[in-house]
Amino acid sequence: MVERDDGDARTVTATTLERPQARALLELDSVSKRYESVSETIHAVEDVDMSVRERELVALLGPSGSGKTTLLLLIAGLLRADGGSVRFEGRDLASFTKSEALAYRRTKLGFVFQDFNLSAGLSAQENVCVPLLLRGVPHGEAHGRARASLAQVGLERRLTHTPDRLSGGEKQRVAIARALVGEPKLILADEATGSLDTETGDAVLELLAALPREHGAAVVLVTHDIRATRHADRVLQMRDGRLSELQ
Amino acid sequence: MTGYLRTLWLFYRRHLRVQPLRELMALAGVAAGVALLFAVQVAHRSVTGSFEDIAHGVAGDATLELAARGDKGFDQKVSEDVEKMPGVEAAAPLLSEQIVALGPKGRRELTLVGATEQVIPLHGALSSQFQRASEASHKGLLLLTEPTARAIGVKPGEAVTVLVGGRTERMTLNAALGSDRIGVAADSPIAAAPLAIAQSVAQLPGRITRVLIEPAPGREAALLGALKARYGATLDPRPVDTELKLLAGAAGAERQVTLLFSVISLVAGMILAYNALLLASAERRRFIVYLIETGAPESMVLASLGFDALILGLAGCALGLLAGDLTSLLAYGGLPGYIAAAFPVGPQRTITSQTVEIALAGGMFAALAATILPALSILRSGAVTQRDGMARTLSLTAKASASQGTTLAAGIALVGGSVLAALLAPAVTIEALVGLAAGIVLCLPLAARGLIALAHAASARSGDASARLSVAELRTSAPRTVALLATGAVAAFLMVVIGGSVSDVQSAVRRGAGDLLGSADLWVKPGGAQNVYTTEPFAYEKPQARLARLQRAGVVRSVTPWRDSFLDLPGRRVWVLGPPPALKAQIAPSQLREGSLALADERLREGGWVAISQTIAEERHVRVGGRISLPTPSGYVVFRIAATTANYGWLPGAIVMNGDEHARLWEGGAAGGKRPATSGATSGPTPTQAQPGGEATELAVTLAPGVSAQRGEQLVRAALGPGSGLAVQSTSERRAEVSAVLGSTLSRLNAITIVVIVTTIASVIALMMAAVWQGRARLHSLISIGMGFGQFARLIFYESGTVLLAGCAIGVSAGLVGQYLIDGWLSHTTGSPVHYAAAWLLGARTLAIALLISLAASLAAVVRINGSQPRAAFSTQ
Ligand SMILES: Nc1ncnc2c1ncn2[C@@H]1O[C@H](COP(=O)(O)OP(=O)(O)OP(=O)(O)O)[C@@H](O)[C@H]1O
Ligand SMILES: [Mg+2]
Repeated sequence: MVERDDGDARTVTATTLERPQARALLELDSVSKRYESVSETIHAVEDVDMSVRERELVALLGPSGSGKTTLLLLIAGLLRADGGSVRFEGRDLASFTKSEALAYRRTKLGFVFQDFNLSAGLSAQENVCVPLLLRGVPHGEAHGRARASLAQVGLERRLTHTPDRLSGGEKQRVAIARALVGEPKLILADEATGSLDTETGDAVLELLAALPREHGAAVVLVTHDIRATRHADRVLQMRDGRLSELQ
Repeated sequence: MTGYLRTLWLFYRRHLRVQPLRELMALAGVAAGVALLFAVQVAHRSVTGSFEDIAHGVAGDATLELAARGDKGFDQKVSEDVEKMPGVEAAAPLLSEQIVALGPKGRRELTLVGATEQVIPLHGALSSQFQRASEASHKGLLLLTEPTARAIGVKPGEAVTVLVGGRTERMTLNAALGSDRIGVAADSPIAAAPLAIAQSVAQLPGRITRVLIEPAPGREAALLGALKARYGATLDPRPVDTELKLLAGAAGAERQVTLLFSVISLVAGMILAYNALLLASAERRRFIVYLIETGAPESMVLASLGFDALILGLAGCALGLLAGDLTSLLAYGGLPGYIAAAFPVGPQRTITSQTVEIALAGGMFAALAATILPALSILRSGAVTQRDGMARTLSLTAKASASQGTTLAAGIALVGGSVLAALLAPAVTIEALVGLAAGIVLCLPLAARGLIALAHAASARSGDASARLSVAELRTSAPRTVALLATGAVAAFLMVVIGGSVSDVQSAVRRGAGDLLGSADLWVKPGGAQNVYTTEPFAYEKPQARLARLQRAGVVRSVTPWRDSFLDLPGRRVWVLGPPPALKAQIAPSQLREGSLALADERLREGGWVAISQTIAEERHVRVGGRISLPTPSGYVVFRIAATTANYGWLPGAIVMNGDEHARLWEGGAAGGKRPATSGATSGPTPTQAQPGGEATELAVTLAPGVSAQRGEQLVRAALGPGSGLAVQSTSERRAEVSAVLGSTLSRLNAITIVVIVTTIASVIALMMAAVWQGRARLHSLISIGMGFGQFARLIFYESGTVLLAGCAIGVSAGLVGQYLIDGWLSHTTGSPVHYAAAWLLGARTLAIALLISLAASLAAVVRINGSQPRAAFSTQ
């Protein structure tokens, strides 16, 4: 079940091993985001320039409260920047209509959360189906693709398990399968190993690191975990809302 | 101690901060219970409360009375004779008369009490105050209470128009007494005047209707015996509280209905509050674990739980009393209950400290029960020793599902047993209904599982991702599903049970009235809605003469006098109907219980026969063909029983008697033998020519063919003239009045269901909001991965809609069963032929409301989630 169904323009074959100097997928140009409250203004993201190329693995480090999640939300179009621009494949997110923003998240992005956010009432396979069903993929096809996706994360034998019968690492792998199933260009992972022990976390990291290579998706990996930098093409560091590049 | 309390208060504030919605919902539940309980109690107390006030206020130290049987009273000299009897400490004559007081602003139906200064030594608060006020002003005219004077818009010194006995009199208002002088009795529909003035207004010179008697110490029993021997043939010597007991008897069925609905209300409130707290139990469990881990003693844990209950109870009670007060105000349109026709009670609300206490006790009980039950399950499950709250929840549900079969069996057994018990023995209906409700609650968890399975099967075929996700959401939070189910079920149950039985009773009343009123086109009677049983007599010679002109002009075909009255039998005040003997159907067909209708009609027309309510016949152990002795104003008269009937809408029972015979016995007695008894009542005079100078309580007018009821009504009203003091109503107007007044108690309860609806709406929306808030990480993650707002709204709508609709469907079915049981019970206790007409329409409306509520809940949830950043998905909780 390694081969994906062909005929889809976005399909990238698993044989694409080498990474040619790909064009910029995502470009942030002096992006800022403030949170205003009565007593103070927090500059969560300040004047950030950043770019992510296709099939690139970027690790984003930074202490707690430095603005990493805010940056991800800006990239996903779930927050609107106060200043600067976020461009995906050359298009400014600010110019998106509501339905375009929705289509952007549905087709171009995949998400992996620290707390997995799986639905306890659904089996592993059904959970993976959700993004497809949301965009109207017929249910038979969705199930087939979900099964394939689960096989890619090594869970072909856990299809009918509900989350309460999965280990933490397995849950996160289901979540990764869910992020992958829509064949996104960019996967945003926020502390994906934060709720897992070291060993399980390592396995999940390996899996995430293999995504650009095996699935052609770029990955922005937000983490506290310095080990994540091993797999990264680039390591970025956030501090008080400002971004700098390490290495 | 204060430190301890402060700690508890801190804990409580923490709960409030962590789960404000659920605290609010629990509060709403308790408040709803209290509000319902309060409103129901006020509805009940108001029936008897004002009467008690007046009775005590008038009688004072008097413990015995000599009461007239008819409305013409008896000779005032009797009072002087009584005063001279041995063992009498003091005696005072009274004349009571029903009047309508008219002012520029409105009209009020009142009981006019005429008294002399002899009432003062009896120390009755009310009568003494009235008496003093009239002496002080030296004019000695009409006295009203301040609220009455204000309502009709007159000030002391101004003229009041008084309608009495089909005549119009003008009196000058002497003074208006406020509550500062006569207390709560100021709200009573009462007026006073010196005896002589009252006698002249009532056109009963020298006559009284009651003598209040204060016996010498220790002489009461002997005196009562002597009074019976001397006056017992034509008057009623009796303890002064007899009328109160008669009223209690008449209101007995109401009291039971009240009790039933009090219990239902409280249970409903408790379930609502319990639901809310059940939802919070996972969080509470974590908190208790935290307390134990930090080394708090067990007593602290218990105290914290108790403190929660206390705050919930107090706040719920305060809110509930406010809401209840509003509700009962809303439910009181100034319509007098049917009781007001036979007893001088007003349409006003009476709120006693007891009412408030009952509501408070109920609220505290509900709060305690709702708090303790989930807490017990937390403590018993041993959560305290477990670190991982999540694992506990799961093992708890696993344990619950193991015993679910037993629970379901118990629930079904309870439902079946309750229904069976109520069917076999209607007297235990109240208990059975509580059992029914409890049984259904027991069945709900399994019903929820079944529902989820069904929804799953249905959504599997649907292409809508929202539908499949909503099933997943339902599965994820089983307690919420059960809570939503229960909320819907409780609300629908209450609405259908109350609404359904109210309309059944009303249609029973309407049917009875229809039979009775079908024989004429127009009805002429004095007074307003309070005279719904038409028991106020008036001289009909003049009105009839006026209508005779219309008769000659070919507008009116016939004018027939009816003669109705109330008669006190031991323990019950019965309604005596006197249809004109010319009328073919003497007994309303819908009311017949035993006997042949045709034969009974014939016998009644002959005279010497009566038809009596089944309840009276059973009490007296008599049957059709047997004999019964009735205490008429002319003395005891033995009648034969032609048939037994239902009670014609007057709960204590009815007697149908030939109208002429009725008039003869009542007016003959009224004249004290001075006026010649009207001749040959049994000979059946022609309908339009009753004896001159006779009295009727109602005139039935049939119109000539081709004359519309509306036109006839106008002509008859014009013919009677503006000063007649008589009201003209078409049959349909009269019918509407009868059903409005007779169904008033139940209608008030019906209005109370508004509280249920409002609480349900608040409760469901709060539940869904809480649910959305609790699941915000998951929901935000769904939005992140591409769920549109439409899809999100549908998800919430399907989730709440499925459960709420299912809950309502369960509630409606149970409600229809409950309605059937209550109908049976009402026919049993009231003797009215209440027929079951399943409240389908109401049920459908309830389901529609449920749909609307789900829609509102989804909108609220979407707004709530939309208003916040989808950040929750990205952070741990
Ligand atoms: N809705 C908000 N309103 C106000 N301030 C906010 C809001 N959301 C985040 N912040 C603040 O913005 C700053 C950046 O938050 P953000 O969640 O992006 O940090 P982070 O780097 O993801 O931290 P962590 O590693 O702990 O997840 C923090 O100081 C936070 O308190
Ligand atoms: Mg973060």
